[in-house]
Amino acid sequence: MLKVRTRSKVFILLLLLLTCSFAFSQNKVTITGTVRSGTESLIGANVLEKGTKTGTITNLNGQFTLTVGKNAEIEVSYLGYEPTIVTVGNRTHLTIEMKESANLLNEVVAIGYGVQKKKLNTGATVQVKGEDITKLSTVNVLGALQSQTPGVSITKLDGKPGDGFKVTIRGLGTMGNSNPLYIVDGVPNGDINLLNPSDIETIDVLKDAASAAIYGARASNGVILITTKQGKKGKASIQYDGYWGWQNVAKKVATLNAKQYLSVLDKAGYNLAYFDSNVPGDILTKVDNGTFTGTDWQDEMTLKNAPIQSQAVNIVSGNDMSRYSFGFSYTSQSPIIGLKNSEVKSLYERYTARMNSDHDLIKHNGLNLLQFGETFTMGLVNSSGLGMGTGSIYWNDVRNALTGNPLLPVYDSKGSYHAALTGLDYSSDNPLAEMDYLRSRVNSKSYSARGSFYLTLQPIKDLKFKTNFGYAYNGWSSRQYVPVYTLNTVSFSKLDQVSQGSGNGLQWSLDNTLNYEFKLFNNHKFTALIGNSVEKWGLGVDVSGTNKGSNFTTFDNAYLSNVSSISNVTLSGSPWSEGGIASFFGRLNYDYLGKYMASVVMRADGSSNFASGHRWGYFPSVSAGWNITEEPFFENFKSFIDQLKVRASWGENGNCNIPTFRYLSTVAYGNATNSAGYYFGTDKSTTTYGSYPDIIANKDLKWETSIQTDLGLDSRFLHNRLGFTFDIYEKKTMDWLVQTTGLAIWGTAAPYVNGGDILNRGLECSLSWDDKIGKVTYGIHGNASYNKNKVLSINNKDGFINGASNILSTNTSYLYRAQVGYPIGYFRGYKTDGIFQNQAQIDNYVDANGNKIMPNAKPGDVKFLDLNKDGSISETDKTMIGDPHPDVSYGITLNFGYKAFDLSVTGYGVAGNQIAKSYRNWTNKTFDNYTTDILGAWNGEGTSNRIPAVNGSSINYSYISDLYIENGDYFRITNITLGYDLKKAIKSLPISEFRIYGTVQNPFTFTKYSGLDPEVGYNADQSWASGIDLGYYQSARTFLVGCNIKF
Amino acid sequence: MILKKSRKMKKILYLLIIACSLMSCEDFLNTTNKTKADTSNYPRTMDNASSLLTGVYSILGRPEPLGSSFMTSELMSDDRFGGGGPNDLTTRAIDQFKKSSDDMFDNSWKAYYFGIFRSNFLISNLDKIKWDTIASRNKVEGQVRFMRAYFYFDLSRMYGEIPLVTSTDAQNLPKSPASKTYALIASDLKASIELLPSVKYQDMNLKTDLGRVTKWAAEAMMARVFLFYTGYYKTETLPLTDGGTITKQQVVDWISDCIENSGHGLVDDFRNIWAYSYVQDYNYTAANGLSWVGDGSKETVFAIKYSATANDWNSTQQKSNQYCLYFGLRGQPLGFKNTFPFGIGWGFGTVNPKLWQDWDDTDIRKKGSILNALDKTELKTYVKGGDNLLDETMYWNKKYIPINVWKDSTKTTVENFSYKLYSMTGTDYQRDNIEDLIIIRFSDVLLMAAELGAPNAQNYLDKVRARVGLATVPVTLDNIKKERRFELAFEGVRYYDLLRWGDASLITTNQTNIPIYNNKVAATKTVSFRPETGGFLSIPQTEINLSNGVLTQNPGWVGSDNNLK
Repeated sequence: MLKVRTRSKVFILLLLLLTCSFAFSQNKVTITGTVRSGTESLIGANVLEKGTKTGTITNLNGQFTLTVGKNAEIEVSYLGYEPTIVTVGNRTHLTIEMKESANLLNEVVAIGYGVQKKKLNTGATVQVKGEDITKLSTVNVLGALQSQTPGVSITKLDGKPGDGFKVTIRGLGTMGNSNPLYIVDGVPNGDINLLNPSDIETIDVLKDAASAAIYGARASNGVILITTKQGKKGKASIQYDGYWGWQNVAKKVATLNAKQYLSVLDKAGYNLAYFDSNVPGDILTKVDNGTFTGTDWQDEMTLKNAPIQSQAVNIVSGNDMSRYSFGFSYTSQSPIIGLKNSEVKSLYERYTARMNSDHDLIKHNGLNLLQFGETFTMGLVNSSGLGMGTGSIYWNDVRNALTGNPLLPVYDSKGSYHAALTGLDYSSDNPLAEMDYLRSRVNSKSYSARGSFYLTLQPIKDLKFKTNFGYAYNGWSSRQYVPVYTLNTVSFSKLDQVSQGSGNGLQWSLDNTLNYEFKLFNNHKFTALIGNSVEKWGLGVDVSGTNKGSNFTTFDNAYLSNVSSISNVTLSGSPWSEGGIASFFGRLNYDYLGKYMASVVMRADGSSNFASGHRWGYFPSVSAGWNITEEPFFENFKSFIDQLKVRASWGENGNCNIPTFRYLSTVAYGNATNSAGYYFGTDKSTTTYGSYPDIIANKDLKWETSIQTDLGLDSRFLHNRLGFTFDIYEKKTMDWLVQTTGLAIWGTAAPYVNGGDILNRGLECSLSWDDKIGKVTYGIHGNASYNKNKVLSINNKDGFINGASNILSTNTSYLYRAQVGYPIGYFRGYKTDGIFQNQAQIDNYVDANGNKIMPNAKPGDVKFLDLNKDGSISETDKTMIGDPHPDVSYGITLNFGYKAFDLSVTGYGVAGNQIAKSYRNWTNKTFDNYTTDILGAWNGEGTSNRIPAVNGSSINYSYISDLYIENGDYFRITNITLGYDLKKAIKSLPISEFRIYGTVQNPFTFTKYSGLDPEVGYNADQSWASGIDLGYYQSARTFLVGCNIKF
Repeated sequence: MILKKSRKMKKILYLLIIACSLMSCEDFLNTTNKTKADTSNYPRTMDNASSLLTGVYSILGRPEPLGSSFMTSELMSDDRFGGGGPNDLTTRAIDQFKKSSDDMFDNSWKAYYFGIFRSNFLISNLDKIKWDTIASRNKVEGQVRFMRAYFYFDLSRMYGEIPLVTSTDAQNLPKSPASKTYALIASDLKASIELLPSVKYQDMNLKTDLGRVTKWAAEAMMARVFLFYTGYYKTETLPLTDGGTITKQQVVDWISDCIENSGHGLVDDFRNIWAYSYVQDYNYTAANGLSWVGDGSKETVFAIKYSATANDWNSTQQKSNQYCLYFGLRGQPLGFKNTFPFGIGWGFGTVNPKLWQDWDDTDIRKKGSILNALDKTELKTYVKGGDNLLDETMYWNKKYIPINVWKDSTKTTVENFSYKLYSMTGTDYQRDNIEDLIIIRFSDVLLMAAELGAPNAQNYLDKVRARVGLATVPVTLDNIKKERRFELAFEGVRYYDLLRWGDASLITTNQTNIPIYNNKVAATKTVSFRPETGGFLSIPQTEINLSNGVLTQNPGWVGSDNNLK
């Protein structure tokens, strides 16, 4: 921003102003005015009477005097701000408020080790401004990005307060770690979860290889550059943002009540006499006479109006020599699922403090010879009583609520948890008791202090040397208390248990860059950058222990020192996994009159994750762009096309993100838990510990490389009111890093290998329209992306890698697979063709030789298709039954403003994906409750062609089939906000903004999906799997009220 | 000014040089592993070797009980049923030669190959270790080769033909012919016999070495392998990897050596081998003047050892004798003080009444091996159908079953006998049972020697019978078969005996229309041996899928027809 003018320039301008003001006549009036933006006066803004040459420039106080015609219109323009036109009318003093331009051509974007004018940028990047993140009032920054970044898929991982997001840029390209690289204020491996949305100045997502190539080694999954709020010269601006809200569950899935449950199990072959003898007390009598309708475990676990709040203060200021920005925030969120009464109150709390500053140490001849700056963020996350589990079939409280036996009352007559109905199933338990005993008495804290120091030397005008030292300290501590409990005959503990752990460590990075700008033959402008960087991480230790038999019985006393016994101790203490990377890189940007641009990047990285000889990877990229609008022949179209840029890029990026030492076969020593011990001798209480190689080595392990080509278009039309961006890309990831699914006969963990290639192809576009009609300003912003994912090769004989078994329930085969020619992690299983309605259909279901294909089937069983026509239903009949990846994801934001009111609506949706859903342990838990769908089960000819009979064959559900698969399309209104700015209504308020607002989050979800929430992030602990719903913590429906106050 | 500038430039250069030199060397990227050794520097010392050997032993208890050779053979034999509760499909599926799922043996299949990998690793690294004497090396090699043979023999008896892995590389291997696998087993055992020292049981340092493989165990195991291989595959000799063979005479020599020179022998009273004989408050024990000989008696030639250190669920399976738990009495609503001294378990492997009927009452081993739950002199009150027990016969095995003692003199509360014996703190009955699981007992050695036609065959059979007060009978195969059924009942031997004798049809004959109770309701039970399986189990389907068909399913196990409904 060019708000600072030198004195001499101002003098000349004042002269100009003087000369202009002599044109005075009868029909003219002399007006005075102030041009400002917020609290800031704009110095040197152009003020012009429209249609004339009469004009002036604002003085040091942002004021001007001008003599203009009656009813004149005054046009004010200032670089970086939107041109503003005001009608003088009969006023003699004008206060002209300038709005900073959001989309104008001099906007800059972060490109890694620097910034560049967006107009000149030749890569595919998307920038989101801090204000667009803050206004969605999300706890996590990523939650707000979801609807605003085409090509970036963001799905909540768990959904519990404090849990993170899965971020995939331009399609999943690896079976290994697919997280993008986060760079916070220039420091790699930043933690975005630690930032408060109000701390964000901008987020730039580098999507194509050319943009990301400057971060070569770890950029193959894309790069997210986060810039926190920077200090600015000017009077201190103090901003307060706060909101308070109430969260509730948005959806409940209907499960059977006690009567329905009994009737369904009756059909399954358990008659009432069976229950009489196995259900204790008078439960059945009460169900019979209607005094007990059964427990609805979902209701029992739902917490109503769970509070959420956030308070944030940001201060930005600075003078000629120093600028600074402070930010403080407090956020707290209660869960919507949990215990109503618990010893430890469930609450997620986050405190952050951020201080950024930069200082001009030595200035000489208008040059900043030496600049110093720092960024610093401290965070504390305190997570209490949030141990509830969701996601998998084990330790999943949401699932327990869905499967919990409705015959079981929550409490017994004494007010204690009612004992489990072990007569029906010895391993069943009371879902609330399980959550309470095993997971509720927990507290974990994490601390971090991250930041950077940098020095910039500018010895000559166009040469800048910058050295940046970044560091991150992270610490954690946690405690848990598990009281003496009995859940059933197999899950109980006669001793209470205390666990405690803590750890802390450091990572650091140092990078040096030299930036030189030069011109050749006048108009050929070059910017060259060379640099190097080194990083080390994993410099830390963890210690934890558990012991049993506490001297106290409360969580408050759950410390290891309060346990006297030493016979039940388990201890662990280990260093963090250490690693490092060393890099050299260079970039040359070229532009000719802003018309033709090109950029070449090269980076070399050495990673400690590979054996010497495979360590170094080289990542080149090239890109070019053409601003057609700058061409002389385009003059005629300029009236409606403001900008039209085409760009193309190609580049290679790497991924080395695997656990360390996989190029060696490591030897694990036995300890109490990994069972490499034996008990020689006569003393049964002594263990001899052994050792064993715990993984097969792969000495040839090397980089995963992604090669991406991108063609793009940036354009603006109709005086910048209409914006359109379009990208088409092809991303090929080669040699992905993966731990293969080993054969059992290998006898130890399978090696990490460069496992295969994968292709992602897609389109992205975003369209925006901003205008006003009368006093109503409005904007419509939409984006959509399409991605198709296909595995090109897998480095084994089979051409596929199966996912884990027992995902949907115990005793089920794998559910998803990576296979050549298919999308990664696609759902694989049997195709079904309805339900056998009668014996004749079973008898007529024959192969070419007339042999029955499913001779053991009964009417009411599922008809599985014999796709390979071999006369039996077997593994080879399995096929693709679903794809968890959406074809299309899209986001929409609508903004309206009228006088002091503003209204915005944000929505997000996906289409073309499937979800594998299972809310019941079909294969091993006969007495699990059912969802009410079961009431429509086959019950005689013609009753159902989808849901098999309740007493059907076990393979109906033990075979993974399309019975488990549903379409996952949804569109969700994620945010509706209505705000009112008191400042606009009461101009005399001594502040620049006082906006109050109300927000509702997730009010509507449009979907045909029958589960709790179509946004499921559970991935069976394999990063390449997705879309599996086994009972999941759903997105809360939240009502918020808040205010933004700016001084 | 220029000077100043150049000085600054120098400074920049200097900084750059520092930064570059920091990286020019790969040292920066070299990181060391602080918690694990790796195969570039391990194993080198004798300590390393002994540590790796312990890692191999640790696999003995690793296979999940239901998928282990001991358990499956017990359930599939004619002497026992599946039992368990309504959700325990797998135990009844094994009993009935069916599947409860395609991957029902996934865990144990993996576990056996863990053992094989660890053995292969140690064997292939023996040359890298700095030994003080050749004897030290022989001791380690002798043990580890026994262990590899042990794992392969269990796998081969359970699954028939299996992939034979002898290196530590990751390979996708098809099934190997039985002759090749048995050649490795025989060669390993032969090496073991030759490498291990001839130290008598009495001269062993039991305090430190009890549980280790001995030359005697290897000789006995060789006999067991020989009998199974030549019996099942109908051959005269056992192959070796070098193309040679092991003849019956060699086996007879070895087993005779074991009998004559090992120092092992029969304990005086058959019943003193089993843990119930520890409990003096148990009428039967008191009345017969029994006294438990404890783990590692002279009669135990090889056993899987368990420990009193199981204190969390993760390590339970390897550390405690899960077989006792699985075979324990199922859910007694009146409490286990009424079934004193027998304790809680899952109720698997209920005993076929046919065995009780076939067994002569005069044989003290009958009541010494089987608990008749309705016998009031044995149990005070036994409740039928505890926790929905299925396949209930009222007969329970007494050899491996949870054993309780009175907690205090009031005799109102029970606790596992291991609490008293090993001062366990006791938090979970699922890991209380820690007596060792005997794999080879000396009476088995005597009977094998008799069956192999050792010079003293008659004497060996007589010894076994004399101990339990039975008169001599001629040493015919028929008599040996009978003796083995009663002497070795519930010890993981019977099923494989039937297979090698070609007597698998007895499995059907002895299990036809047997009266049982399913969840208190009277019913009859019939189990049919499926000859098409050859008596072998189904290979985990996941492994077949992963191998992309290189590994093939065993006969009789393809498709869904064999699922237990």
